[in-house]
Amino acid sequence: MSELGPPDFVSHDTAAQAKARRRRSIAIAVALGVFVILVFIVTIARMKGHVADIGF
Amino acid sequence: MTDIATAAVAVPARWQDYVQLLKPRVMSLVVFTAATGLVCARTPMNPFLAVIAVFCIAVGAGASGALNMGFDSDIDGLMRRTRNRPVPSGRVQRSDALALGVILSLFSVGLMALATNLVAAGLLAFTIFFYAVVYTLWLKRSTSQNIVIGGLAGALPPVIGWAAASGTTPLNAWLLCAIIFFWTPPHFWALSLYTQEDYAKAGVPMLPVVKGAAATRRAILGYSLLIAALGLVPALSGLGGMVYLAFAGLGGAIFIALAFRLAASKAGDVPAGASGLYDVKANARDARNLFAFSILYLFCLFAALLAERFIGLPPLVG
Repeated sequence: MSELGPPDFVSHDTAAQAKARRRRSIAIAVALGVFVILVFIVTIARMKGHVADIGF
Repeated sequence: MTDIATAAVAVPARWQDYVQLLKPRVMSLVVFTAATGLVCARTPMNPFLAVIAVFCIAVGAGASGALNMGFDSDIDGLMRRTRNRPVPSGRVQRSDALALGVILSLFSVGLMALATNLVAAGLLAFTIFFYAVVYTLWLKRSTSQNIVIGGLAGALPPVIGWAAASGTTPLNAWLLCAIIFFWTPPHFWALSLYTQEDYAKAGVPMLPVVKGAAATRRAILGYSLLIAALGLVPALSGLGGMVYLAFAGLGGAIFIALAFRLAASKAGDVPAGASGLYDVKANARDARNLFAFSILYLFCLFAALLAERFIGLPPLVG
């Protein structure tokens, strides 16, 4: 392997492919964000239930 | 570089291709039956968590679809019905479909465990595994009873929904599962009677390919008698009321009548021509009719149960 790195790493993406990849990356980021928010809200919803079960 | 890889470079995937990987039509049926199971459990549940539970089951079904399309891309490419799917057509890489399936599986099962309970999450995980691995990788390619045993994956969503609400899986939950389980063979065998040429080309041992059309028509009749009788049981088990009984009785009678007509026909004896996979051939019309009615029948049974719960109609027994 040369110091410049193997030629396989040179990108041959067309503009359309680069655009598609960018869209995919944004979609994955949004999906992850939604998942994190869902986990947070579900956790709060379940905690509320448990807190309501505690007697005084 | 293979042809598929070349096509993948030439045609970037659209978002619709990723939606198609999730098999949205199958997903809609799964959502419907799972929601019915959840409502029939009659257990008070936080509405938001109930929606999340059904959402998890839908995403789990989508994950199964993506794994199925990833694993089956070789045979999908050989069948006219499936060759335009995203993977065999080269729009989505096989590895991407599999990765999407694995990630969605983990998300759906994890979120289900957090939102409901481990019983529901465990059942969801088992269902995804059973469909993607046991059915897709093993049964589908090895036995003519593939869709009989594999039908369990499609039958489990109401049990998952029931478990999500109550944490338990009583007999009535498994009764809903049994109805879908025994409905699956006549439904898919009716379809395979007029698509058997495709299955034979791909080497998938569907019943008409292995045993012939006449044996398949007899098997469909047997299962139709069974499902028509089984469909009545919820009215006796404290699950269904008058509306359900009416739909199950009338629907079961039509189901049996169509199955007898199909048994007396020659559907599947002459494979459809090269240009007419979905054309209603004279000899395939009876198979097509039963296939279409079976969807309506299952929808009506579960819709009746849902409607009775929402209207407040009591079950006939209990």
